[in-house]
Amino acid sequence: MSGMTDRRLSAARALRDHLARAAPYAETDVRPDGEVVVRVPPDKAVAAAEALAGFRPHPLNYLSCASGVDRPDDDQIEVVYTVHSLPGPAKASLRVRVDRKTERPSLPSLVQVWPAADYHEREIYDLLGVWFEGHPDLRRILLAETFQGHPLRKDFVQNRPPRRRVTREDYQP
Amino acid sequence: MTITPEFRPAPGDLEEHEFLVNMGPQHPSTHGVLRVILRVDGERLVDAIPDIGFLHRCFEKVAEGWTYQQVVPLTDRLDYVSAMTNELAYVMAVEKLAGIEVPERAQWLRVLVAELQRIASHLVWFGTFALDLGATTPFLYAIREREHILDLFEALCGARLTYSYMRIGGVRGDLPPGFVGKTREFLKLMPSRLREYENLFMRNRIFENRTKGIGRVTAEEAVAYGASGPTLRGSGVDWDLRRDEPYSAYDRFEFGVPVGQSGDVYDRAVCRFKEMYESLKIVEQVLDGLPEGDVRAKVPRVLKPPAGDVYTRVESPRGEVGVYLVSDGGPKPYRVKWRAPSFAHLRLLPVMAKGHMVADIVAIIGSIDIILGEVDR
Repeated sequence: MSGMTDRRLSAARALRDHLARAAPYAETDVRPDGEVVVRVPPDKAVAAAEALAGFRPHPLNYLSCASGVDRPDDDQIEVVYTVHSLPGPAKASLRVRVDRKTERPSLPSLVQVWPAADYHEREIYDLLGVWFEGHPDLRRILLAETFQGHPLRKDFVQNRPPRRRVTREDYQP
Repeated sequence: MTITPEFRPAPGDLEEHEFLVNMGPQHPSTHGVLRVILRVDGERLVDAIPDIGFLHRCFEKVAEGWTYQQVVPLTDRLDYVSAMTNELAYVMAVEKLAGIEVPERAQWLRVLVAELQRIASHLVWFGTFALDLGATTPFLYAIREREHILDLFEALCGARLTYSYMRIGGVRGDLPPGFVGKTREFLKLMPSRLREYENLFMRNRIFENRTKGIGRVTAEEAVAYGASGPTLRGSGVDWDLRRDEPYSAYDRFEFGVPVGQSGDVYDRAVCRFKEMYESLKIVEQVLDGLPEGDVRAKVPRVLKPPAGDVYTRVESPRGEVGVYLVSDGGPKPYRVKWRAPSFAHLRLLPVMAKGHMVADIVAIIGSIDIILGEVDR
């Protein structure tokens, strides 16, 4: 198991050096298990994702997971893209933060770089209310189209809008 | 194309000779409550749009309100056909975050139950897949063999489907008396049964004709859309987390990883089927070399992992199950995100289905072995 961690750590150091050249605006940090944490402002997210996908010899081509985390104490929502190289040992997480107090918090979509982000971004939109600009088909995915609010926000239960009867008119195109 | 929930396409979206066919959510071959909207031109599929969420239980929100230990039984109910590997993914995430060392014997027991679970899960897949394609008998055979494993699990932890056997820091208890002997009986019986199924079904001419060349996914597409497990390996990508990123005790065992070539339904099915032989090999090695010792580390009753986040992944029968866990230092998880393999595979469904006949969609859905419990969460 330690051999795996060693390979992952050397890949992580190479990735950090690559990002220092290809994405100098990114804040990078290597964790003890070899995960490279990359923090970027929203307008640089696509460029940073392309820099990660362009890493050689271990391109971070496999998007495992994208998750949204609501952080009301900072008034922000953080979106974390966990990416791996396949095959290969490199692992990184790209973190983008957006202000949650605005009417329509929006981030650039990364579907162009990692097609697997499609459903994950729809889920984050559905459950946390982050709009992904440039997403090909941004609709609710788990909840009904008529659902009000975004349940994974920490203040959802307090601020829940009153339930409304769904009528036929709701389903008109 | 926009489709309203009342199943009406927006005007002008369809070509003149195209129409929509609704499949599910109540349909025997969608393995749960999956709705697929098929856009067809005659018998040919132009597009297949999955519509999910019918089984949504807000698992991630519920988990935020419960303690770390209380979440373990919830994870059973996500992928209910393979509850053991789900629990494993979750407890591994908590252990990594809290820095808990798991005793060696517990690691081996985890591998033992995870591999037995893999065989049980693949048997359910095998039976239902055959049923989808119109063969009724294999289902009865597969369920009969799965019963052996469920009996073993029942002796182990009292439950037959939702086990809660994995605990943070180890497993719930040691093997009951007679478990090893019964497992060895099963190991002796199973290879001949698998060969029988292979001759009856996997080498059947009708089966081959219905599955070869259907639902093809290239290796590049599989990686780009986040496929994992047999769906990825069926496309010729030699990648298995148990071997390439060993967790628990998997680096102690010898086993092969079946890889397909063409990425069609047939190759995915063959990969899954051959995995059962490899799982049997692992189970045998565990029984031969099981170390003595504790099965559970000392873990505080109120567990408060340090603030931080972690992503762990394991190879479930369906593919990569990942858990993204965030802690704020309190006794409850701040955020649990479940990365389900079936969720990623459903994104591949339109890619696989395009250009095939309506009857093939049943074979394609069967070949990616979706469990809607983990898709909808």
